[in-house]
Amino acid sequence: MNRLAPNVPQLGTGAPITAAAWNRFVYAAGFHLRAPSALLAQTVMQAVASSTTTRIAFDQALRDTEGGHDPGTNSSRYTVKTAGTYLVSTYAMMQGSSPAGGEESVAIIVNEAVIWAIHILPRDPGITNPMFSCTAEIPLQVGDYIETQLWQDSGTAQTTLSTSPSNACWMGLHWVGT
Amino acid sequence: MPPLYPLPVPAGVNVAQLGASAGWNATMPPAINFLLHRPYAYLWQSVAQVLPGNSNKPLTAISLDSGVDNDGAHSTTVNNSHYVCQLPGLYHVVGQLGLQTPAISGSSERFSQLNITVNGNTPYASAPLRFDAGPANAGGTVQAAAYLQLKLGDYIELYGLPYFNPITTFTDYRRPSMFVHWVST
Repeated sequence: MNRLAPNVPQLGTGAPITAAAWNRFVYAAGFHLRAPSALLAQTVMQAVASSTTTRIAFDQALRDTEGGHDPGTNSSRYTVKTAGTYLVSTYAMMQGSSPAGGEESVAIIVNEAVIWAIHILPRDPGITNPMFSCTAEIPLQVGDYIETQLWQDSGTAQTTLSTSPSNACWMGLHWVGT
Repeated sequence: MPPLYPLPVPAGVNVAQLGASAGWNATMPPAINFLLHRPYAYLWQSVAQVLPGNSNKPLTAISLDSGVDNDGAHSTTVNNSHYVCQLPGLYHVVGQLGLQTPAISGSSERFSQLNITVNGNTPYASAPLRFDAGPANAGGTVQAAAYLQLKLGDYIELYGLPYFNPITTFTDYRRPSMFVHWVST
C-alpha cells in the first residue's frame, strides 16, 4: 500500500468549505492516527559469520501498516512506501564463543550503503550474550530500504538469539513527518 | 490537557451534505486534540535506589518517583516503576539507567544491564553497562529503546541487572529515566 502523506489545503477568503477540503482534513487526521509503522521480529536463529556483515532476517511482521516487509523475499528489508522522516529503533542479541579482543556491533543501514546509527561493544568474555540497541531518525524516499546489520570478528561464527520475546531480534519504525 | 478517549474516528462528508458544523465538531476537534495531546510520559528517579548484587543476578525494577504524564498512566507512589497502558496501540519507549559503583578491585566480572520490560521481567530490549576497576562512585549510563505493541492494562518497566555487588543509581542528570509516547493505533 502506498499512502500519500497528507496535505491540507488553505482555502481562499470567503470560499466555502467543500467536501473535498473537508475530506482531505479527515484523511490527514486518519493518517496521523495510524501513521505508517512496522515492527519486525526474528523467530529463527541466524548465523553471524566472523568479519562479515550480516543483515538480520526478519521472518515475522508483528505489524506492517503499509506492506513494506516481505517475510519471504529480502526479509531483512523494510521498504519505504510513504516518503518522510522515520524514527527507527532496532535491537539484537548475539551468542557464541567470544575470545577477548575485537568488537561486535549492530547498525541501522539504509540501501546497503549508509549506516545511520551503530552500537559497538568491545568484546568482553564475561558478557556471553551481548545485546545491542540503537535508534535513528532518517529521511527516506519511496523505495529506500532499511535493515539491521550485525558485525563481529571473534574468529568464529556466532548466532543471533531469537528464541523468545525476551531474546528476539527486532526492528521497529514509524513515520514521523514529511 | 489529557488525551480524549475513546479514540476519535474522523468522518468524511458528501457534497452538499447538511449539518456540517455538527459533523465537524463531533469528529475533527477530538481527532486533532487527541493528536496534539497523544499519550506521553517522561518519568525519572529522584531518590537513589540500591540494587542488590550477587551471583544470582537479581533483576530489580527501577522506581520512578517523579514524572510528567498526560495520561494518568503512572503513579509516583504506587507501583511507581509501572507505566500502565491506558490506550492500546504502538508505543515507543526509551529507557536510561545510570549507576555508580563502590570501589572495585579484583577480577570479578563487572557489568550491569538495562532491560525494558512488559508485564514483569520479560525484556523486549536490553543494553549492557560495563565497568572498569576504579574508585568509588565511578559509574556509567546506558540507554535502550523499544517499540511495544500494548494492550489496555499492560505495563512497561525498566529493570536493572546488577552483577558483582550492590550498586547505586545516580539521581542527577545521569538518573534512571523513561520516555514513553503513543505512536499509532
